[in-house]
Amino acid sequence: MKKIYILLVWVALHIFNANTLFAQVEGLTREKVLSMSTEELSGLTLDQLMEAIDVVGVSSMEELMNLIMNKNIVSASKSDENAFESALSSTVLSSREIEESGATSIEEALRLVPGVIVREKTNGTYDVQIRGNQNMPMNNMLFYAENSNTLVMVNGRPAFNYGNGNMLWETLPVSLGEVDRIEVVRGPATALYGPNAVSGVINIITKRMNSQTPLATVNFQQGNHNTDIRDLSIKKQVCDKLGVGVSTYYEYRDRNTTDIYAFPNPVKDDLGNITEIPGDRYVSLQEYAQLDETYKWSNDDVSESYDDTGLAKRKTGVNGYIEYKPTAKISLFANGGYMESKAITSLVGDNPTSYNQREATIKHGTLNGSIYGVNLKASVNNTLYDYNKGHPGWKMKSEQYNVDMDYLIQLGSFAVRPGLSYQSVYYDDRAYSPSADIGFFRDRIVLRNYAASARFDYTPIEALRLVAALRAEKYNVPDKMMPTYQFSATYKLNDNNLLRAVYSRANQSTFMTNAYSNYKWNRVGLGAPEIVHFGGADNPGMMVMDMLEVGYRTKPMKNLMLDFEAFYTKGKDYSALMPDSMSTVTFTGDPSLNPLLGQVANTTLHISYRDLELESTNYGVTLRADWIVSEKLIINGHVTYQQTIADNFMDYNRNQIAELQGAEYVPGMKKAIKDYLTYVATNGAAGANTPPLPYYSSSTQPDASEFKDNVKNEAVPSFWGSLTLTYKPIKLITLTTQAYYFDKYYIYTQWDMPGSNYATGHIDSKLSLNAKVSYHLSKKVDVFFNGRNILNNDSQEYLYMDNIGALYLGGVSIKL
Amino acid sequence: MNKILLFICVFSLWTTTNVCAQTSKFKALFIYNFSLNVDWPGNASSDKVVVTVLGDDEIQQELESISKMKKVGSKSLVVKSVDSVKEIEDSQIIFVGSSKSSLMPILDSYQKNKEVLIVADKAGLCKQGSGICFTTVSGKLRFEISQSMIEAHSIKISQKIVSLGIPVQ
Repeated sequence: MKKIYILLVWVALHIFNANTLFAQVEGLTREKVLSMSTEELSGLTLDQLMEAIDVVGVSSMEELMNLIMNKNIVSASKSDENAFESALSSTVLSSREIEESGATSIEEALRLVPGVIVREKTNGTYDVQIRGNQNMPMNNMLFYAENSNTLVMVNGRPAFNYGNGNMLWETLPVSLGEVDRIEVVRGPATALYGPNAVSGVINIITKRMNSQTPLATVNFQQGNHNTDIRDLSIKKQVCDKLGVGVSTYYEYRDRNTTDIYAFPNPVKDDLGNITEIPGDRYVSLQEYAQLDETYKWSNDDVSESYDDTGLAKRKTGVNGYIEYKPTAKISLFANGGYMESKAITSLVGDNPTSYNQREATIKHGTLNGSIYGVNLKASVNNTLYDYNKGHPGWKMKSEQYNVDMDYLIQLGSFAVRPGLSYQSVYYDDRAYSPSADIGFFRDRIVLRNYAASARFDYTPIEALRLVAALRAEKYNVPDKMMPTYQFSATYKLNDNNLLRAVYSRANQSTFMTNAYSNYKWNRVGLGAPEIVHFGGADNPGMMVMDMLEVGYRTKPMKNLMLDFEAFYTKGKDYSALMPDSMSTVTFTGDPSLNPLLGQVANTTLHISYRDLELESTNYGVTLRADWIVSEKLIINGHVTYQQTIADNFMDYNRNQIAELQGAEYVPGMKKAIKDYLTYVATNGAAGANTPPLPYYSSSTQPDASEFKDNVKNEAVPSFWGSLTLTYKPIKLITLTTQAYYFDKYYIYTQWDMPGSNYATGHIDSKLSLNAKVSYHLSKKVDVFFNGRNILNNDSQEYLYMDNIGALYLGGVSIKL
Repeated sequence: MNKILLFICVFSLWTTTNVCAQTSKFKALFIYNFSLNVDWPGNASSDKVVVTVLGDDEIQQELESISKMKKVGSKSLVVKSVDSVKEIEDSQIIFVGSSKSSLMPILDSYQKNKEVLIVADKAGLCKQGSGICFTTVSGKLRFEISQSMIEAHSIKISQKIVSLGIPVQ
């Protein structure tokens, strides 16, 4: 009986829907309008003409061509321009494309963007990279594989993490449902957006309000692994001048396991021979705790650090929007919000496992305005981070303030946009440190930079466009001025063929840890070194990237667009945490630590951020195609091939350098202690009557002559791509399938197994097939089934992280 | 396989060509209708209304065919076609084809203070100086209209047109 009711409701909805979709204006039929001559049509008034045209409708083809091949982009020049004619490598992903693709997160949606490689770590947490140059320097903490080269922004507000320089994607304070479009600019763009736009910029732009904006939108989907993704927006343009809106979102995802990976930790005998390698496998939290205790890996309170190993990601938040346009010359857009996140993903600390549980609470606000032509952007972002939950010293609050303004002066075919920018980022961990000597910074610290910029845009003849963007940025740490630039040119062979070239330079800023680290890791009881001190650099370097790029865009047919780009980059001035010196105090005056009494000596390893001579070269090509085959079928695809090469590569990891330093003095020190103790014990019959030195140390470093050139860095796959087919067999159904492939790649960390050559481990190539089928119940309601990796290719996508299998979801999308 | 691909290409090209011609005709009819509802004070004594089309042959041809059978009140409709901004002579309406949309800021700069209605084929260009921009909303041809941009060119447009458009600032 229940099934009959459901069937009746379905049939009723179907009939209602069909009536709504195919309704025709009384008296006017499609055939009638199409049979009217131009003279007859030109005799109609505008409202009559619109009524007649509405009956025929603009073909879906025309609409699709506008939506897909005639997009505008702002982020490539700070002005609205046709993406086809943009001088930079850039892509716009519309909300429609995102929705149809079935992407369940902003990160996953970026798989539709050429040149961007997206790999899932745990359910809903991702690594996102633009082109290559990942994992530089190689052979360090796992954290060095994080992307610190891409500036991510929400409505122009940097969402970048300045603590240690990366993007914590789960802290992105916006949901998919709020996104109007994502604009991606590939290649150095510091000259436009300031530091850290090195490999590119990802600008997430939320929906604005106009008379067409639905009053309410609801998106809801649930699936396996307790995946629950919801968002709700209520927006209203109150009058021509004022629009207000509020949105809220919730996302919850479990991992497909509760196990975590324990790093390989070789056990050595007194002669330095490896006797056992515990770890190097996935274990339950209980077993991990046992291993941790047995082998004295850490002093962690495991139950506090990983209070829910089944959780992958949880985020929830609320955003408010106000648009106010009091006059034609003034428009203001304000957005503020609050969010909380928690995730288990790859490690940013020094734990014996590759997993890291982290939390964040964010309050943010942005004001974008145009006042008599002056574009103003001011934003504030207050965050309470716990980067490494359960580990003292990793919890801290940050305040970030940004102000940017610019003004466009257009003089015929010449335009100049002068601008000023200011940014300050404060971190303070004092309130969250359990004692005065525990904490990463133990202070309130600041990174500040301000800049003057100008962008010149000249069109000497209409086929040729020359652009120069220049920016001089003054930093407080290091205390220096950094110039960056971006020169580009486009040449239109005709309306359907465009050649372009870019030469640009960008730089990273320094990060809090690089500049201000003052962290004492107490390892007493875990073996030497008993203390590891992490220090910042007095004058830290800032990585610089130069790029030469050429591109060609063509529309060989009205419904086909091809976009080709070839890039060549050189990176230098990398820095990383490296051991400066190791020292051992053999006699402190404290009898309990007096080696003469047989006590263990106290060894300290001093590690600091240090500039490296490492250089990188990254080159490759990307091809993108958009083909509107018919009103029913759209094909989009992209492929990227790239190679990254390291030169002046110091093939030593942190532990190996520490061992090098220890080897220089520890054997002699041990012998001196032993000889003297023997002398005392035998009353001078044996040993040596020379007391050991009170202090031994070494600051030896690998010899530069050992540095290697032309070393392949394959942390980013050499090849990846996506092919998407959107098929609408009937008006009520949309089916989108996407195949996403990446090639085998390698990650480089300090966790090398004995005998390994450069790389710590690899991830095999992977093909994922995604599909979403939507049934349009009415113009306002869609129901859908969404499958990600539907062939359940259950392999890892990122080293030491989860196997990523199928995710099946069902949901509904409502626009009222 | 190759034959199938070739067939798909030819089919999709044929489909595209047909639908574009249809839409161009509708847009030309819109432009003609705009000309009936705009007042150019400086053109009162002239016997013609000049529409210059920048970079869109199909619209230009459709407008030509309208101009052969229709007048703008008592004035004749004169249609000109140009490929560059600098070629544009005194016009009452300038239509900017989507392939030329990047020239909008330059066109705006050259046409500043002139009595002209700028109509763009690409949505969003009202922000860069266009008075009217075509757009499609749910399969329907619509137009964005910026009254402030139109007024900046010292011309008057009927409230009827304004009320039928999507207002933008």
